[in-house]
Amino acid sequence: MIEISGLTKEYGGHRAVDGLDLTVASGELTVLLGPSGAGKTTVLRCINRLIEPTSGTVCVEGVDVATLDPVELRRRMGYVIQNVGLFPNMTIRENVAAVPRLLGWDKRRIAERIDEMLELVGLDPERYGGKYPRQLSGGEAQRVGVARALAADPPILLMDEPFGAVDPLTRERLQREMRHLQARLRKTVVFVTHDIDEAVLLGDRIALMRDGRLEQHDTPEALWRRPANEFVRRFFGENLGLRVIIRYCLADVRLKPLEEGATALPRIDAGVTLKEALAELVGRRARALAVVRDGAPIGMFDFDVLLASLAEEGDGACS
Amino acid sequence: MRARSVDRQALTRWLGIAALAAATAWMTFDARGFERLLRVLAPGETSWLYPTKPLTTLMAEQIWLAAAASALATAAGFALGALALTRFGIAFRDLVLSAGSLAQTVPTVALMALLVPLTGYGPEPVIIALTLYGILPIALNVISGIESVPPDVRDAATGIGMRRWQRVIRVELPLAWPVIVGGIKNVVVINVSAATLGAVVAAGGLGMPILAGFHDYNDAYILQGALPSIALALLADRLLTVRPRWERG
Repeated sequence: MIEISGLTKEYGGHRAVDGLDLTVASGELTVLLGPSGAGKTTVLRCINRLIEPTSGTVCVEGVDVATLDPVELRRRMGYVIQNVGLFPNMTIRENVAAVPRLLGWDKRRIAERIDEMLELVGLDPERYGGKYPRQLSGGEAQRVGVARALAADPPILLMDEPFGAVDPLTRERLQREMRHLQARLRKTVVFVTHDIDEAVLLGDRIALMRDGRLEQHDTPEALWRRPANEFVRRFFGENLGLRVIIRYCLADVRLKPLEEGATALPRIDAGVTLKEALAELVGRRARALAVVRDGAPIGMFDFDVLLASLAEEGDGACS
Repeated sequence: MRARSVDRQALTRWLGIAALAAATAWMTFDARGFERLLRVLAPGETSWLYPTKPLTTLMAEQIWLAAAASALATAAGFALGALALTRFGIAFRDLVLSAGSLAQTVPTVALMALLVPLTGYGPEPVIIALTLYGILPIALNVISGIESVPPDVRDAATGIGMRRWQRVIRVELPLAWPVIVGGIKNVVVINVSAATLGAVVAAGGLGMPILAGFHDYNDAYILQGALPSIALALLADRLLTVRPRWERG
């Protein structure tokens, strides 16, 4: 658990962060979202003490980080940044091994861990291990960045616009993989972005910031249903609902029973998100879709199902 | 395909080095053979080999002058560059940068001549002058090499929990290395040829036949000093031209 209280950082009279209180529960991914200059990155960098706050405290598992050796602290937190920051002079293996080496792991354990991490982020250790960062594409480099951050199995992960510098298609893939990864690993993650879709897709909770202050910290659903103020409402705009449905898949909602003649309906897999299902309805100009799981139809999806699912409270579960 | 082209680059480099080393060694050790070449190049002369000292001795002196000055300049330049990069040296950094270009404007011969009253004749004024001349270019390259490390890479190194010295040893120095070696290379190459000026202050070296040839209007002597000096400088240049692994392919 990360507890931030009264965090303030001043730069020459300007308050980049202004008395921020925020608690990130263990195993949750909290997105720090807001326009540029809102102080998101400053907050993130106060957690691993790359920045020392002017006042206020950051506690990790109940311990004030100001009382810890910053270097030891950072080794217990994975750190991923926008331009990856892979070490160009090291191979991919050496990059992933960086933190375990700092922690003094023995060679065999490090070697095993590198293979495990590269496989986890979908890179073949045989093919990629010996390459140098400049031989990778942006997306591949970013995966290595995530593998490096996870290598020492830190309970906490700090990510600063990790997918900001890759092309939209790759970004979408990385976001989806990140969602799967987080569903499996359940790290305590603080994730900085200014991309609303990314925040809604990945965040268990979103902390919306403006001018160094926290406007609202809640689940994406709650931000949509109950915005705390006009700024929150305006920031997310009218189509937040449309964005939020990306968090659910067909398997999560109550489908209609299949009617007679449903075999004629276009089919769609139960693992697909509501947003994609809606796009399918529109794209096929269909009234309803037959939802299938492992090839067998399990129910029917139409606009009524979508509306009914929106009426319910819930947390995003599709992963 | 990639690996093959890398191998080819390395092969070309080593072939060049071998050829230059062979040429240097041949001129130094095969006095008769070299004389035959000088007879062809300067047919009008009556004497082709500088009589006072054999070329092996002159070459050894030349290498000693250049190597001593380069080593001292590298050590001092490194220390100065490192100092300028510390927290206390930041103010001092700009001074080093401007002094670096200024020092290049002082003629080497003048500096040597000015040193003679202090050190006497011999190798000392040459080594001191060349060292002073080489310190700043090396310090300059240490500074610009370390400063060329991308800020993201530095941030990541600190962010994952490297201590300052670990960041310097594992990330910054390796990345700055090509630039630093480039600075050392320039200094070594300049020193190899500038050491010929040592003849003026009786330091020995390949400048002796050049000076004698200048005196006696003997082109063969000049060539006997100049050709090995050129080959040695080219050899040093090739040896110190390196491309790091991570930039290849």
